[in-house]
Amino acid sequence: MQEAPLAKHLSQTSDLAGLPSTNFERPRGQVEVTIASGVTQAHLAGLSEPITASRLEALKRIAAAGVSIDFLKFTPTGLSFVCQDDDSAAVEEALAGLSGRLELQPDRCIASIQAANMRAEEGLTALIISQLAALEAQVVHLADMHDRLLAVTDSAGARIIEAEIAARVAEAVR
Amino acid sequence: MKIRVLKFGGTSVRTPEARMQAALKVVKAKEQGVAPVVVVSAMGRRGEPYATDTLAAFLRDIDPSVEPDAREMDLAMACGEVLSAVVFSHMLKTLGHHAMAMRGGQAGIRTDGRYGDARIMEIHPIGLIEVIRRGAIPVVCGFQGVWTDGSLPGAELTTLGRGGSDTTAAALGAALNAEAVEIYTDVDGLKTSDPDFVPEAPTLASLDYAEVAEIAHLGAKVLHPRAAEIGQRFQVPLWVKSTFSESEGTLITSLDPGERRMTGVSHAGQMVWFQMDLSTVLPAQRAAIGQRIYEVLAKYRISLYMIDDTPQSIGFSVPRGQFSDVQELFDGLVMPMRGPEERVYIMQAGSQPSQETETQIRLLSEWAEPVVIPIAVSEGLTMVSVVGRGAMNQPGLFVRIMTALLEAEIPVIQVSDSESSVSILVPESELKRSVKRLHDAFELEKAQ
Repeated sequence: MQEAPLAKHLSQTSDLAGLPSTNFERPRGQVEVTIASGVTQAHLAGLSEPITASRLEALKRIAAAGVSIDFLKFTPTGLSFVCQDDDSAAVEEALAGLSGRLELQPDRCIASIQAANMRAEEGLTALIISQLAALEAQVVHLADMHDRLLAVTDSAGARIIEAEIAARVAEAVR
Repeated sequence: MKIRVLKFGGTSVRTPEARMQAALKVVKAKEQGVAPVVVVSAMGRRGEPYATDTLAAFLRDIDPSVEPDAREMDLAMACGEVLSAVVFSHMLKTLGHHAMAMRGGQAGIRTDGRYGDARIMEIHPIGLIEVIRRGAIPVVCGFQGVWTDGSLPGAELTTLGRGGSDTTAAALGAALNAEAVEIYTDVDGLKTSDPDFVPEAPTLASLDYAEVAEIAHLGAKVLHPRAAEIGQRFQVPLWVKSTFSESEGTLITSLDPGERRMTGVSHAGQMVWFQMDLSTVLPAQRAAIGQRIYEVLAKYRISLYMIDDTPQSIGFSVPRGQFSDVQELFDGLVMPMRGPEERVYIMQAGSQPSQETETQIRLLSEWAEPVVIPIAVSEGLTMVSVVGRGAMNQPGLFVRIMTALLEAEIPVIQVSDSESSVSILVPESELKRSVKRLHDAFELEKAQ
């Protein structure tokens, strides 16, 4: 029996209904949100000069207390970071006596806003942040990865972000 | 029958000798009893006759002031892969193997309609399967697919943007349920760092998909993150191997999440840091100002790294290539704010206002005294990143990084961290030393 011409199988517009196919790369602007709670936002300001040495001293004290920190950022007069709520007392004790003023904001949440290859899409990270800024959620800190944005906020803000950001980003991308 | 996808990048198909080495890899796979599916990039790299950039330049050089039509630019750029596939297919034939060159559309790759940066939506591999069934080796053009909205007869060719051929290979591997996808390049596999900076950097035996994606986004260019994401989503084992050696290469797969380790040190290119001082902004207007800043960045497609967003300031770094865009966008930008307390803000990059900013301030002063938002700009920087898996949540990590750099008197401008990396902004002049110091600090020469 003569085989069907190969061209039939290679046709670009043949009706392929019912044949195996797989959806691949996620559409642009499709985001997913997960929330992690129980973190404390810490701000340490007014460190003495030389500030580099003071920052390092602060970090050493925190490490010696066995505390793991995230979202570390250098500020003009100190630094800021996030730790687990359970570790905030240890942080406060570790930094006692160090120059500077420590402010702790407990009961914060981290909203993880994920979009595939966010960083590869020029402008997408900025677009997501602009939509985040339009929400009535008080975001006190941001961190960026190749595929997600991490926002530190309070529990009310986390609920708002979880409920609204995906639809907003999808609309903005359209 | 088991299928294995083998992808050959530009350097692997650049010369007759390289193509022969690549073809022999395909023959070997067939001799091992698998059905190879080949994906090829265009021959050569930037500046060489059949490279994608060279083909794009053909159009642009006609009149640099006229932007070529995106659809036609895709048609031009795709010629590189078409030629490469035909040449490679013929080479296999000269080695006694039946082969068939296939365009991306013929391989069943369907994309969205974004020319120059299309996303793969579906793959209908019926044509590929039939070619394999008839005993031929498919040689598929990487970097391309087709799209149709029904407005024209036939389908439109689209190119997949950066990393397109890696993405093609990973997607075909998933669609065909391949036993593995092998990405062939000119290095033995993924190393713990750039061997130009750390000659003793070992080749890693295995990596997790998420590690590879993070490393790739932070500078290393061996495998495109899009391919890693597809591999992870569909659990397709990916290998990075050398066309020019028999070394085992690096396996990219899902690894035990409980296993902690530092993977490597990567570095990005030239960066510029912008720090916008928002201390003059009324608290009630802070959110709106921030929103406008990010809207501008989004509209003009600026890539942001190491974002630092606090009530008092917004800081971020951008690739050097986008520095002048950002400078032009924000220097002299006027942002009027309505409400109970109306204000007009004007942004000023640098310590002295530009002529444009001065003119703006003078004109605005007729209505209201504008409030200046200063922007400090730091050029000549670069980003070095330590990447790990499960190793970021350890006390003392930042101390170790900071100590390694500060002991070498390398200034740290800013830091940024994520679940799988810590990035440090340092002067570009300190790039090599920074990479080496961090590589040594984490004893990565012992990594496997």
